[in-house]
Amino acid sequence: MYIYRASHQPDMSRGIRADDAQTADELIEDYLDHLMAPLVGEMPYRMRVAVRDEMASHLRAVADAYVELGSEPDAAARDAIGRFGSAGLVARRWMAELDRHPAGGIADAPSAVAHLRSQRAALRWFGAAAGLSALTLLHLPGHILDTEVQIQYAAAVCLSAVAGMIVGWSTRIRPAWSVVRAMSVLALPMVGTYVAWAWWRGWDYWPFWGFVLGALQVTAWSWVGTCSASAVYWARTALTGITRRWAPQ
Amino acid sequence: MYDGDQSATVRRELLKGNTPTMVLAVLSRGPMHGYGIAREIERRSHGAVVLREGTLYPTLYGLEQQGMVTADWQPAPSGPKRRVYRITEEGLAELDARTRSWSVFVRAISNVIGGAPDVHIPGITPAGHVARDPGR
Repeated sequence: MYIYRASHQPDMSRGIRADDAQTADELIEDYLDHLMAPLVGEMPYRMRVAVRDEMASHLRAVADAYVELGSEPDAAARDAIGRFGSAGLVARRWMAELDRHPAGGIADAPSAVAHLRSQRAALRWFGAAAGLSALTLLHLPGHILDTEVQIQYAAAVCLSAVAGMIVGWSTRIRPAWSVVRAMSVLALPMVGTYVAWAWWRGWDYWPFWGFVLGALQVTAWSWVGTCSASAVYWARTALTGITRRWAPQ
Repeated sequence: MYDGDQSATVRRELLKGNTPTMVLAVLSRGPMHGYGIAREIERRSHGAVVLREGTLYPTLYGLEQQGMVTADWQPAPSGPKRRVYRITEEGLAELDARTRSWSVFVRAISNVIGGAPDVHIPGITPAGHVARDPGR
């Protein structure tokens, strides 16, 4: 049987070169790197090591079987990986199970990764909402004092509620704080968009009222976003029974 | 008509939610490690069940968390240690419930596909029409 571990001696009698072993091993290790990366912060370190070892052992056993059937080691490793499923799919299954049965990854070891992931999600969703709001703004049919326009302006606030709810559902740590951080990054472009819009439309309130409208939106979004994110986060933890995770500073 | 890829997709759709049942069924015959479970499912299904083998491990984790299986590391005859899973009493009870539920489901679907219902549902004629009340 062909052994992939670099510490083991490859079976040279079958004409397999030593660098083949490294290639096959590297393929498996690279695959496992991709699979395990999303689980950082979700699964405690020791558990990740154990799970990785277990899956590596499985992959090597499948690859061994393919080699027994006459495959080249790197082709065997590829086939084994193919049988295992895409790294993204397996990682998603792990995330789903960890959602149902948390392993205490973050609770046990609050990490910068968890914060970063949470803030990235907030920035992504609030960034998308801000982009959508800017597009709406560009297509406003009339003056800001028109009723129809005011309705559209008010509807923009709903975008922050939706973004906040998504952030509250998808993040695992300090969603409100992540929203505040995201809004602090987005404040300048949002206010700038309003000022530019007011200038472009050539209305009499430029630039001061454009600035005020932008600042109002940023303030409203911050409040609505943090409240909706927190509400959904708490509701989710209550519904799913997942322990709330607060990171000590 | 299905080509190969489509039938594989259908197979995967059918498998959804049934992997834990298959894992419990395999483990009910004795302790086994992950690779062995995958091979046993393949052997018992004569290769008809195509699992994404990587998804076995989250499933096993879920079952372990629910107390249906336990696991411990054991030395292998050759090579590194292996994590061996064994079914618990709770797991056996769950397997029993799932097996009964599955049997009912298979019979119902077979009846629908085969068009030969063996169960009479009051108020519904074999053709599926709602029976008229003769008193009216």
